[in-house]
Amino acid sequence: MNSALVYAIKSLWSNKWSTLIAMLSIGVCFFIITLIGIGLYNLNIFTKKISNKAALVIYLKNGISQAEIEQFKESLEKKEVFSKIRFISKEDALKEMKELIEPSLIELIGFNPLSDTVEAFIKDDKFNKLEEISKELKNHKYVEDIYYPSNIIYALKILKITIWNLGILILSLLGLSILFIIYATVKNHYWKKGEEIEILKLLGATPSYIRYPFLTEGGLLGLAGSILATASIFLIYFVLYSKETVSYIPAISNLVLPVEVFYLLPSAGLLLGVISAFLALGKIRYQ
Amino acid sequence: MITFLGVYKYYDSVPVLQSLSFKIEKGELIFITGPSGAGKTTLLKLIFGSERPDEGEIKVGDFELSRIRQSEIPHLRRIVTFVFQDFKLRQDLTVYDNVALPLLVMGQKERDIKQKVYDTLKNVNLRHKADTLVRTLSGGEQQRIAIARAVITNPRVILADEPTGNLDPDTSRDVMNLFKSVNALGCTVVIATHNPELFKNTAYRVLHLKEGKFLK
Ligand SMILES: Nc1ncnc2c1ncn2[C@@H]1O[C@H](COP(=O)(O)OP(=O)(O)O)[C@@H](O)[C@H]1O
Ligand SMILES: [Mg+2]
Repeated sequence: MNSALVYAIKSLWSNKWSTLIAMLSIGVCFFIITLIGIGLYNLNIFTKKISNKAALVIYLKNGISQAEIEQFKESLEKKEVFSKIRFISKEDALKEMKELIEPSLIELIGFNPLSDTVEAFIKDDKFNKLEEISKELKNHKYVEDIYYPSNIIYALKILKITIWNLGILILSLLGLSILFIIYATVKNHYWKKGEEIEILKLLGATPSYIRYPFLTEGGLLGLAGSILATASIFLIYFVLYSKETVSYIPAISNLVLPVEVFYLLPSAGLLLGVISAFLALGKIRYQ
Repeated sequence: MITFLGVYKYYDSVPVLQSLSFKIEKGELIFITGPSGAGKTTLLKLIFGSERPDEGEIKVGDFELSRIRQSEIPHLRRIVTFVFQDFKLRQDLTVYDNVALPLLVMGQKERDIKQKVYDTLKNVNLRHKADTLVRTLSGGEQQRIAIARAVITNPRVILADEPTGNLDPDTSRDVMNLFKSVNALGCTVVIATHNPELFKNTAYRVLHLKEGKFLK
C-alpha cells in the first residue's frame, strides 16, 4: 500500500511532462465544472426567490361568507397545481396597507376599499398551466378579478430549465474529458512498463498487486487536478468577496458559494481518478 | 506432482505436442531433451499455465491446468517457478532487488526478507554482487540470479529452460549443482535441455521429445 504510493509517485515523476500536462488539463476541467456548478446552484436560489413572488392573486367578490371562502380554498387545493394557498382578509390587507401608507390618509376614504384575496403559489412543474388555470378561475362565481404574474417569470423558468440541461451536458462532457485524460495518461504509463508488468505476472503477482500503483497514480492525478481547481476557486472567492469588489459591484454579495465544494471537489477528483485508472488497465491477463 | 494425460498442443493448427501422457513424481529431478523445435519449451509453458493444452488433461498439484481460471494462475505460480531461457530479469534493478521481487509480490515486508535474500545470494555465490545492477553482469551470473529468484520462495516445482544454454562447462556444472541441491531439499525440478552432457552418466530420468512425441 505504502510502497504502491511511492511507486506511483516515482512513475508520475519519471513522466513529469505528461503528468504536468494531465494535471493542468484536469485542473482546468474541474475549475470549469465548479464554476458551472456554482452558477447552476445560484440560478436555483435565484429562481426559487422569484417563484415565491410568482403567486396568483385572486380578488374575491364582496359579501362572501367564511364557509364559502373555505369551500373555495378547498376547490383550489383539489386542483393539485398549487404548492401553497394563503387567504388574506380585506381587514388584514388594510392593516398591511396602513404600514405602507399614512393611516390618516386611508381613514379619509371612510370605508375599506380592498377586497378579500387568495394568494396561490403555483408548483414549479405546473407553470405551463398558469394561463389555463387563471382563465378558469376568472369565470368562478366568487372571483371578482385575478392577477397573475407576467410571462417574464414563465420565460425565466423555461430559461432556467434550458440552462440547467445545457449545464448538465457540459458538466458530463467535462467529466468525460477528465476520465479520458487520466485514462490515457495511466494507460500510457502502464504500456511503458510492459516488460516490468510481464515479469510481475510471471512471478505470480495478483491482479490487485499489479493494479495498485496505477490506481494510486490515477487517484493522485485526479486529486492533484481537483486541488488545483479548488485552490483557484478559493482564490477567486477571496477576491470577489473582498470589500473593494463588493462595494464596486454590490450584487456579488448575493452569490452563494457552497462550502461543500472544498471537500466534494477533491473527493470527486480522487474517485474519478481511480475509476479512470481502473478502466485504463482493463482485465489483467496472464500468459 | 505433475500429470499429463493425452495432451495435444497446436500452433496455427500445426501439432507441436502430440498425445503426451506421463507423470513426474514429487521430489523428482527430470530432464526433457530433444532437438531444437521438439517442443520442450512448449511443454514447460503448459506446466506454468503460460499456454493451454488443446486436448487432454494436465494436473500440477491441485491445479487442473486445462480448466484453470485466469485468477488462479498467480496462485499456481506461487508453487511453480520458471527459470527462463532469456532470464526475464529486471536489467535496471540491482541483483538484490531482482531476487527480492518474488517475496515482495507475495506480500512480504521489505525488512522481513533481507536475510533470506542474502542467504539465497550466498547459495549462488553472488552475495558480493548484491548491489550491482543486473545489466552489468555476465550470462553465467545472470543465470544464477534467475535461479536464485526461482528458488527463494521455496516452490514445489522449478521449471528450467536450457539453463546451461550458452555457459562454459565449468559454469554449467555449478548451475547443475544448484538444481541438485534444491532438489535434495524436496523440490521437484524439470530441466529442458538439448545438451546430453547434462544427464550423461546420471541416474536421473530423461524424457526424449522429437517432433512433439516421446521416443521410447
Ligand atoms: N508462439 C508460437 N507460435 C507459433 N509456433 C510456435 C510458438 N512457440 C513455438 N512454436 C513452434 O513450436 C515448435 C516447438 O517449439 P519449442 O517448444 O520452443 O521447441 P524447443 O523448446 O524444443 O526448441 C517449434 O516448431 C516452434 O516453431
Ligand atoms: Mg526451447
